[in-house]
Amino acid sequence: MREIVLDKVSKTYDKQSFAVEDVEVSIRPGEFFVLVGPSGCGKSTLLRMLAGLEEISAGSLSLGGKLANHLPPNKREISMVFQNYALYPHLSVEENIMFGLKVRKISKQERKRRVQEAATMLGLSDYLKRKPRELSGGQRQRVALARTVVSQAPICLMDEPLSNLDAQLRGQMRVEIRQLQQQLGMTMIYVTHDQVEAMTMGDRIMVLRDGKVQQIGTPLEIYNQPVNKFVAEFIGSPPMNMARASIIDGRLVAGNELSIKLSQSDLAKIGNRSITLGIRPEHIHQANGQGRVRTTLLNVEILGNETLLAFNVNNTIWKAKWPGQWQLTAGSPIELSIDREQIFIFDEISEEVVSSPFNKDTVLEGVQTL
Amino acid sequence: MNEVMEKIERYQVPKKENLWQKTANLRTSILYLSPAIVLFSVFVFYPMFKTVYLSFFLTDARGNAALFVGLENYLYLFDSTSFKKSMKATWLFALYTVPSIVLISFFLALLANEKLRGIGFFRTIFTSTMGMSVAASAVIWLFLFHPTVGVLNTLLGYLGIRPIPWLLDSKWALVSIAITTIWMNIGFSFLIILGGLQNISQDLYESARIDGAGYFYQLFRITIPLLSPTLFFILIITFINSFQSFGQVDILTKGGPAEATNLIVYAIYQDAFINYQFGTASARAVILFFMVLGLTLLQFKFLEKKVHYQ
Repeated sequence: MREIVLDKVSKTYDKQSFAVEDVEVSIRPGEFFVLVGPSGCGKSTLLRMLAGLEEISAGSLSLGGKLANHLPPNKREISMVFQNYALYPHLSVEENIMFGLKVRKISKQERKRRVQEAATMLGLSDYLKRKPRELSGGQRQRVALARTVVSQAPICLMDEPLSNLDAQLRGQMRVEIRQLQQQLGMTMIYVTHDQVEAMTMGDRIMVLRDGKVQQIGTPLEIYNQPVNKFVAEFIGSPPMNMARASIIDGRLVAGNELSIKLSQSDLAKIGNRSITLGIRPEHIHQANGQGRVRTTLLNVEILGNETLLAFNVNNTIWKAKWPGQWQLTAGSPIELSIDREQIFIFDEISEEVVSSPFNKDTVLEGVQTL
Repeated sequence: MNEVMEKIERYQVPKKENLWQKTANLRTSILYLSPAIVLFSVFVFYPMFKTVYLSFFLTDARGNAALFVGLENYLYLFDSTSFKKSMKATWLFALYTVPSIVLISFFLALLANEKLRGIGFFRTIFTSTMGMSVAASAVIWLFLFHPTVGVLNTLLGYLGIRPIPWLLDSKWALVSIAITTIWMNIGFSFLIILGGLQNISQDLYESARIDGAGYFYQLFRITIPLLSPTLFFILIITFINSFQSFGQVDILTKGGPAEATNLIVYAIYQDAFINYQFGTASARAVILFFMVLGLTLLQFKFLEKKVHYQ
């Protein structure tokens, strides 16, 4: 098992701008590492550099302590699952799974054995003689996974493997891929633009934006302690509510709708910056006297176990997530409360976190011990 | 009666239509087809049937049927040495041109499919013969082949090789025409094959690279199988084109010397418009039609199994 270390890895295509800039991370053996970001953020480029399909413009990549920048793809001991699965349309499922083994001149018996094993593992035994076009999307996906399994490579790279599947199948494959990875103990580097996949599958997540690393951490670290506005908005569904806000008489005010009293320490941190307020939908409750929001309900979505309320705050649409079933009418006025302990305050210009529940807690603890 | 039909019959809402309404779909489709039907009838179907009809007659000089002779025209042709010579030349010509055209254009397409600087220029150059008329290309080659001032013989002279009587010798004439035809047809085949190559998903090659497959392994295991529908199409088209070559023969050799380049279409032309034998000319045309048909069917029977349609 080998550690993957990236040091100041950068990529430029046009010599004018970076597609990927200064990526530094080390990925532990056996880790499920997710690269997540909106389309065009450079996550696929980074993955392709790891695979050796793209040149690394600058910086070093080492696999198991050895420099691997110029190693051809087949010497890197990796397997890769492509977004469109890259199945050979003219070969049967069995030949598709065996393709890599044939290239590597693995004995016929061993090939048969591995294909049988992988086919059983992925439930493909009945389809071995079929052509890819006769399979459903989910089955093709499994063939692509079977290729990784038979290759027995210690590192597996996946480039948005679930994006062509329907929602239900995606949910199922998420679990299967995770199980497969743990069963085989391989290192997985998984690219996705879907934050749900990132949250549910990854041991650690790297959030990328415009080729730059925003944050690396476990899913909960990233959800609870986003370092900037982008990460806070990108991770979580529905996303964190954001609104431009200002300080008036020691209160945080956004539009006509929202006004919250702030602590002295928060006010001190804010100073005279222009700021954006952020709050997750689950931290907006029924009116209880603190952190008041007065607005009109725009829409109500009852999902069975919870209810999503949409309303307007300072000309942006916010959502609140209430547990249970609430029969409310859209268009009626409503009063809500914001959990003051849970608010995020971001610098409007730099988008960095100014105050968050995480760094507030430490301050409060400090106050209590006094 | 089964459950399904029982239910359907009980709850079916009947449709009430008269004949005019019932044929609405048919009438619309005929309307859409009519331009094609008219054009094809005038320019394809009528001449085709007329040709078959004329092949059973002796004709007057204006091409009107004069005397019904049954299969005489065909029997006459099968007996004539000139016809046998023409057939031999036609088949040899196909043998010279078809494999060369397919292989050369495939090779050029592979080159032009690489991502290299300035590749667009080469793609244009390789395709350029497509934009040139048969007459113009033949005239260019007429100059190149010129026995004394032609570029080819001059170049051979520099290499110390004796001049070749390209179009004047009965051994060389067919080869010369073949070279011209290969040059003329490469553009089209190249373009189609390049299109086929670019249709192959890049993912497949990347996946193969990760597995460690080399260039030739990829070529034979991925490119050629996935390109096979295109190659098959090109093969058939090239065969048919080669059987139908006319312009280059007319301009370069007029079927000579000693009928060495009297390809079947040129022989038809000579029969009909020089000798005014429309009956035998039609018979030749019908034979050509069945040759092309038979050959295409054979190719479908034996080669299509090796073609992977996606």
